[in-house]
Amino acid sequence: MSFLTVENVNYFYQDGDSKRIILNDVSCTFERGAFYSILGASGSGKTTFLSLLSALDKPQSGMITYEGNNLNELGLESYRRNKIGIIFQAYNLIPFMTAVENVRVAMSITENDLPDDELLVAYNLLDYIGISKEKANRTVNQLSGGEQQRVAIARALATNVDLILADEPTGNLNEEMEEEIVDILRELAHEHNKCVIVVTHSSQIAEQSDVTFKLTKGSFEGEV
Amino acid sequence: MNFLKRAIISIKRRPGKTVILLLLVFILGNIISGAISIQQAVGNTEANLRRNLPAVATLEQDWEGVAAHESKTGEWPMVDWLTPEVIRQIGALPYVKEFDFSASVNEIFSGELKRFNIESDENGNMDFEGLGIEGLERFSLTGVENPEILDLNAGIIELVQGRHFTEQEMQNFNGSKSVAVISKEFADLNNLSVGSTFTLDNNVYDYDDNNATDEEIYKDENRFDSESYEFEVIGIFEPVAIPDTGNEWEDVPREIQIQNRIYVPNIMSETAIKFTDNVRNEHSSDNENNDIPYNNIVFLLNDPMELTDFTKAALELLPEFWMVNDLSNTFGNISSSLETLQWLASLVLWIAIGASILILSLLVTLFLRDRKYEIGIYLALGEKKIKVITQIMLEVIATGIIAITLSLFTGSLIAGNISENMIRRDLIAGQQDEDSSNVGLITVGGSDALAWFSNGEMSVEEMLANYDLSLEAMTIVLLYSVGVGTLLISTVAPILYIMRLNPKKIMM
Repeated sequence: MSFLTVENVNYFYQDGDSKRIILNDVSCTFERGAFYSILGASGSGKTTFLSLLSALDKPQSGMITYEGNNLNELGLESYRRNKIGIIFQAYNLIPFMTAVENVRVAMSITENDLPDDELLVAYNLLDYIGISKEKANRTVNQLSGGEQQRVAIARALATNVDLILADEPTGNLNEEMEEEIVDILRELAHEHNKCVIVVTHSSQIAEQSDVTFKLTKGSFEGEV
Repeated sequence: MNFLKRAIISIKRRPGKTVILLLLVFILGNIISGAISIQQAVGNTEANLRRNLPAVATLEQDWEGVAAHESKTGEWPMVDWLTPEVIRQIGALPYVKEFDFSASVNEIFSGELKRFNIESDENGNMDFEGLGIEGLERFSLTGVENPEILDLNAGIIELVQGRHFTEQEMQNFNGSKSVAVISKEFADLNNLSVGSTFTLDNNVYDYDDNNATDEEIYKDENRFDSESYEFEVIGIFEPVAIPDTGNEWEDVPREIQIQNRIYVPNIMSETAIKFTDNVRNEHSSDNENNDIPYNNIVFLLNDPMELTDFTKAALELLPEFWMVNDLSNTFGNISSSLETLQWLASLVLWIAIGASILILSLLVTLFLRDRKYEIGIYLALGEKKIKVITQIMLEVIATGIIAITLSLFTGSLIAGNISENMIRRDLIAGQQDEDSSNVGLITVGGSDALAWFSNGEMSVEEMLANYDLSLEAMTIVLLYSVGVGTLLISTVAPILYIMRLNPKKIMM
């Protein structure tokens, strides 16, 4: 049984009488301990694909299973709360909160078992990602873009989940920062046995991933 | 970092929005607080006035009801006198401390006794009950059913010598000798003291000649019959306070009347009334109703706050065209001012609640639009919508409660000043209107019996002293209930907004 399975997923927008197909009969599997990239140009359907993997939306047909369980049965909200960590291109941190508070927000939402001393865990996690305690106590808009993305990664990891989904995580960062973030994501997959799936249009990131699915006009061309 | 902590952080870290919300709720809260305070104060004031009202009521014929019946049916109804049984039934109501009623003899004569009189400098002789005929003077008898004499217990008069009646004296009358309680002035004027006796003649005169003068009527040849009664003085009283209405035409006759008052047991006065009726019937072709016309039917109640309940219960026992009267109309002016104020406060309250719901709904929704991404993050992370809604409501309510707490004091203070000035202006205007029509500010309406229990005129300041706009538990509870209720309703629109949010559209 695969960790995460996508089976014959279709997604389209109804535009009057015509259908605009975004994803067309997409199937693939993902496993723990691997760093995946979904590569595609703008409009290829990769963000929609990630929104389905992250249960922010539902496919019109087909099925996505997590450890053999259909996401619909798990409950989309519960799946987001307890099974995945999401990293967005625009970081999507709460601006009036500090870095550590942003991490703790995710910890307060999940129902997963977490260590009792949440604050210490949050600081340690941020430290592991490269955010010092001093920076952790700053409101996030006082941090650089790279630092904010690190906080977003820490937030994704804070709920002790095995599936990390990232939407163009380096899209707003310079090359140096991009490398650092990709290194972290790779490390998470390889050293912490997480399943990391990154949606990107960057072939450089794709090159560093273990498996790349190339998405063109809503269909996979196959593993690269 | 549960939703409660998130709410606290949100309030603290976004001071601009918190202050705007705080100020808005504070301003609206002042209006609501003021309106509630005034409504409470009006209730308190009415209760205060009622509490200070003499706990006394009388039974009187309802002439307005009779007139209304006449104008409706064209017939003037026969109104029977109340029987002692009905009066006693009402007297047995639990609200009644004691009661009395009087079989009064309006005319009884003496050739020897003198009446107490006051000559008014401006208006001359104001003894309207006296005859002023050489060798004959007219008196009246005030019958009492209560041997202790209600006027004594009510503090209208006080015994300075002797005693009140005994049960035996109330029940036995041999037809010629009785006992009496008289005033000190009357006793001194006629050299009477406790134990001495005096005689009154129940002369029945022919009144048929409408054009006859007093001298012509009250002469021996015009007398149908007569019966004499001897009275032993058993007690001497002094009036405690004569009602002071400021109107000499009311006050002087009232003093003359009480100083000439002769209290006797009802059994004696009833005999005198029956004698008069029998003699008149003998000389008249009309067969008149000879029921005893009991008057001065006075009930002292345990508590003035029970006046309304007493009235309701008494009306159920009273025959048609009888009513219960009390001294509520002594604060008629302030009552109407308070009524206007309450109406105004009620109107302001509902408008303020409506405006608050509208303004706060718009403001909170507007603020939420700025927080769309924050809410999107919570939802994308899997937070339950109910928790996000609760967080927003907590933020609004926590800020609102601080503002309501502040407005509780300021609103009540401002409302106190404004409403007191409004009442003062209203009362002074009312006073001027009444002065210009030569009517006292507060007049004792209704029966003369009630007038003796009145505390007299109430000045504007005395009336305002009863206006009690103080912060009390009920006002606070009401304000918080209305305030929090308004805030909760104001979050309905924002809740609908949150319910419709789709995290995918916000985040991706």
